[in-house]
Order: sequence, then C-alpha cells, then structure tokens
Amino acid sequence: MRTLIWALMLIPSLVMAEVSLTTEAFKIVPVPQADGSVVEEWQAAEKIVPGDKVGYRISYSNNGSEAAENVVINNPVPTAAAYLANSATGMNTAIDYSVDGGKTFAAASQLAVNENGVSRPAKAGDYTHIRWQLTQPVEAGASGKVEFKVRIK
Amino acid sequence: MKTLQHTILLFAGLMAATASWAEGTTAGTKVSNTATATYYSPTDSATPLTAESTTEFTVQEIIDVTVDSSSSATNVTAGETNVVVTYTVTNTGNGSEDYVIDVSNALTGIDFDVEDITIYQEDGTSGFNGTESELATDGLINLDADESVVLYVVVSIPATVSVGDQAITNLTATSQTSGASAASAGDVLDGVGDSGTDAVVAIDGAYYQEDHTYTVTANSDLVTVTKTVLIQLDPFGGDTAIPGTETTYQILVEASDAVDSLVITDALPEQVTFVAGSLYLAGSDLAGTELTSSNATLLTDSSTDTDGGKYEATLDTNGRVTVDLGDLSAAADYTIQFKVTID
Repeated sequence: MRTLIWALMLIPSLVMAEVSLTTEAFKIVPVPQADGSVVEEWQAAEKIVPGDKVGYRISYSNNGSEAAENVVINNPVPTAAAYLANSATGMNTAIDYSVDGGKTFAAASQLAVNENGVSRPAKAGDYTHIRWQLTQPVEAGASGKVEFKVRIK
Repeated sequence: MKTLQHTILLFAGLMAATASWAEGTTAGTKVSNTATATYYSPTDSATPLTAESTTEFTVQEIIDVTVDSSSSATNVTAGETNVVVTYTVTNTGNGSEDYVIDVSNALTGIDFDVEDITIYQEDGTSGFNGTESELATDGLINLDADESVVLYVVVSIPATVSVGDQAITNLTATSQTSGASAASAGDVLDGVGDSGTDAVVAIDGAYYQEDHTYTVTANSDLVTVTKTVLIQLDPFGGDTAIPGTETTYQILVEASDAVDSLVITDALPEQVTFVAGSLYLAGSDLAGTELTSSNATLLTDSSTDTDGGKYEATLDTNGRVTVDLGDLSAAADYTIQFKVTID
C-alpha cells in the first residue's frame, strides 16, 4: 500500500509537460447581417447533410508544470469530407499538408498528385492530412487552438 | 425514407433505373475526426508524448429530387396520338426515397388539355417503343440515393385544336417522407430520415416540377396544291403538244387554316422554256379561268423586287418559278398562272 502511494506521488513529477487536446465540430452557417453582408457562424454540429460546411476546432492546453516543445498537431481529413482551400489557421504555426495519406507533408503550393500518369498541382480536395507545427513551445498552463474547414461530400 | 416497404419490393424487379453512386455521403454515415498532438518535455527530447481527441457527428438525410427533360416543348398536330416526352427523375438526396410522379394539365395559360396521359417506365432499352410497363396508378417509385429513372409520358392531342394553340403539362416528383410535402427548403423533419436520422428538406415542398409545352402546328394537309394545264395552243391553232406549243399552267393553292411563310415553287421540266412576263397571281380560287391583268396581278420575273413572284432560270434543272405568299392569318385560296413553250 505504501509503495502504491509513493508510485502515485511520483507520476506528477515525471510528467513535466502534459498537453491535452479537445476536438469540436461545428456546422458553418452563413447568416445574413442587417447591413447586407453575410457572416459565417459556427453553430452546433447538428443536422449536417451533404454539401454542408463543417468547421473543426482543435484546442490544446498544457496542464503540466513545464513547457511542451516541438508540438505538432496532425489531423487526417475525414473521408466523407473535402478540405476547403486556405481554411486551416493557427497562431504561431507552420501549416502543411499531405496528399499521400500522411507519409509526406509539404506546403500547399508544393503538393502534386499523379492523375492518369500525369502530375498536376494538388487541389484542396486532394489533401488527406493537415499538420500544424507550433513554432514556439506551449508554456505550462498555456493554451491555444487551430482550426480548419471542410465540406461534407 | 421507405414508407411502403412492400411496394418497394414490388418495384424492385421492375425498376430499370441507372445508379451512378456518385457524390453524397449516405444518410446515417458517422463522420469521425481525430486530431493527434505529439510533443516533447524540455528535459527529454528523445521521448515523444502524444495526446488525441476525436469528435463525431452523423450525416442526416437530405431530401432532394430533380426532373430533367431533353426538351421543354414539342410541336404536335391536331388529333395526333402517342406523343412521347422523355423525363429523367433523379434522387439527388442521400437516402432511399419514395416519390409520387404526377403529370397534369396546367390550369392556366393554356388553350387546350392534352388527353390520355400515360406514364411508362424505361425497360432497359433506350427510347420509347410501346412495350414498357405503365407506372402504377398511384405513381409511386422508389429511388436510392443518386439513382435515376427514365419515364416516358405519352399523350394524345384533341382533334379540335387550332394551329398555334398550346397545352402545358406539369410533371411533378414529390417525396413521400412524412411531412416533407408541407415543408419549406431547410426544414428539418425529426426522426424520419434513413437510419433514424432527421430529414432535411432541400427544396420547398420536397417536390420538383418540370413543365412541357405542346404547340399545335400545321397539319401536313393544311395546304393543298393542285397544278393543271389550262390551255395548250400549238403553232397551228390546235392543242397538240409539239415544239412551239404554248402551255398555260395553273396552280391552285388552298390553305385550310392560318399558315406562316407559305412559298410555292415549281421546277420547270426539261424541254420547255418559260414565257417571260407570264406569271400571274389571284387571291382566290380562279382555277379554270384564265388569269389576266383584269382579274389577277402580274408578278414580274425579277427576283430583286418585292412582289413575291420570280422566275430564276439558273435554278433546278430548267429554271424555277417561285411565288412567296408569306403569312396567311386565316384560310385562303390562291391561283397562280404562268406559261411555257415546248422546245
């Protein structure tokens, strides 16, 4: 019994950085404003049908006592969805993409896919994975978020 | 949403529909998204640490349908039967859906109703050939997501219609999901979608309407043309057809109704020569009576004037006589006369 308590007490001291993720999906609804403009609202992910835009928000927070370094967030695009061009965002991140199932990543402009033996520049709908590389450590107690949008096929 | 399971089974064998299985995530599909983070502790750059989070939602059923027709208008004649118009009905939603197909005469903007409306379903052979099965009297069809069916709508035109009259039919395909026909675009119908999903109605009333216009045009027997020899005068005062004989032709034109752009042409046979300045036109039936400047109008042979009559020596094998009668607003008779000499 005493040994177990000691073991449990040791765990927090071993885990210096402890990052947790929360992924949320939202239905993106264009809402006309009084001034005639249209603003996209991120609403609860209910009643989603083909053709709808869905926004994903991935929140991270460091619950540990030390900074988390070289944080990389990797998100495969759901197979029933197509990534929307230029929709991935994230403060202090370098964003790149994969078109080969996550084996290799590159900036959007450098991606190509092979179609019928001919290489062509990749379109947003070709992306299989999105990757955010945080350019700075996540300090203890700090948090942030990255986002991207898809359209349901 | 399948509302009548046994009806669907009955139709399964009859359906000769083409399925494309293209885009459109099936209703009930669970879309899962997982993000993974890898990171390192400042004191241990060799051991990657990970965190993961998954979120999931279910794709709901969308009720949508389109109807296409190869054309939106057909020219018909009075009394014509078996007038066929082809439609393609496509389930553009993402679930299995029952639709009722109805073809009705429009209530306004029409001169007459088409009759004997019958809907046939393509049997696998392209084009209507009369051996197809009729759609059930309730007009019910079931289409899976992205599936389409070709329908032939066959009608008859009443005998009493006039040239220029129009009929319009409305073909509608209406979803049979409970509450859909009363819904507006964007409405959500709780729990009636496939796989227990909610159904989202994509178009007002969950139906698609395709209109078709039938326009009555001239019957082929609307205009009758009768050509006769009025006078045959040989050089010796007799009526023998020998070289030098002058023959007077008359063409009686009888239009039984209004007709547009009526042009009468006569290609001259070989071994005759058109007699210059012999073309007359009378605005009535004067067949049998020689036309002169006192009972008819002399039409010049020139093709550059506006009198509608001309003789063009270079056309056809031996020249052509043309009389352009233009648009006739009602039934009318005309008599045309010209002379040739036998070479």
